[in-house]
Amino acid sequence: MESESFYGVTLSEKEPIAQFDVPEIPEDYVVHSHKLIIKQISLGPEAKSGEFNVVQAESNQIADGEKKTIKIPIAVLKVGETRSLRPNIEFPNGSVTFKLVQGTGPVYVCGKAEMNLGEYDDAQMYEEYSDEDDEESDLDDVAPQTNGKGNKKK
Amino acid sequence: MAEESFYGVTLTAENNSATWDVVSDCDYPRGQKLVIKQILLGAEAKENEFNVVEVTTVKDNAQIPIAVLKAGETRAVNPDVEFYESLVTFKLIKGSGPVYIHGQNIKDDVEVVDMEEEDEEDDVGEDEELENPKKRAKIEQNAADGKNAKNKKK
Repeated sequence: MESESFYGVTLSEKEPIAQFDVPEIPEDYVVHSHKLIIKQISLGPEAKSGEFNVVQAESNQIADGEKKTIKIPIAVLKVGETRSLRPNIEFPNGSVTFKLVQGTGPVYVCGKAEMNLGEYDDAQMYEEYSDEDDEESDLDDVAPQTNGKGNKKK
Repeated sequence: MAEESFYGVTLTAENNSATWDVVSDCDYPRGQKLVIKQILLGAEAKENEFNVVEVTTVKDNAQIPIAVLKAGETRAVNPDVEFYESLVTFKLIKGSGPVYIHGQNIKDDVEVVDMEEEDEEDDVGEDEELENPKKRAKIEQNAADGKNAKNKKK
């Protein structure tokens, strides 16, 4: 089961930092993986001319059992030159901090956060399915082929 | 189930190349790939200077620019290219940068599958792994219906 949500933050001189934390694990599931995808970063109309606006990402992730931190600019915007960028960059399994390290903005950072819930563990899987069986057993008794009965997949 | 991590490197006049080198895990050989999503020119880059990033791969014997950037003209590109091998080098062959390369490292997960199991677990999705013959029959019937509909339209 996957959970997706829109992610959008504004960076400006007054609020230059936005942090994305590792999402909290809901009780019934063990989060298998999650990621933050940054799709678009754009400069607001009020931005000053002749000024570079630079967004830096600081990513903290655990890869191969080690903690790894990368700090790197992911957007460089400038009125009259580059109004927006579409990085389409992904930050998997870790926290990320976005910072407006140059310029006054406002800069809009948009994307999505994905969570992959559930485990590829047999015991866990059959436990989930036994719940599903209980819910769907009514339909099965009535007609094995339920065309047009609105059998919505979860 | 794949292991993903953010990939970010900076090329400058002083450090003009970066290499992606994968240490293969002999016990469980896994597919690994590097995806390059964005290549961005830093704010400090000189105006009207071309900055060119060239990639070299060993396996495919390829040597080709994947980014041509210029302050005032092209601030960033989104190659969305992938490299499926162990040794890849990015080099700033023109310009002094700084140039930021963003992407992700993806490791396929290798699952040890017991070939003696009856169910077609590999190709079928999670929901359909259920040992419910009625459900499977329903899916196959629907698929057949779909096929027939297409033929009628012709």
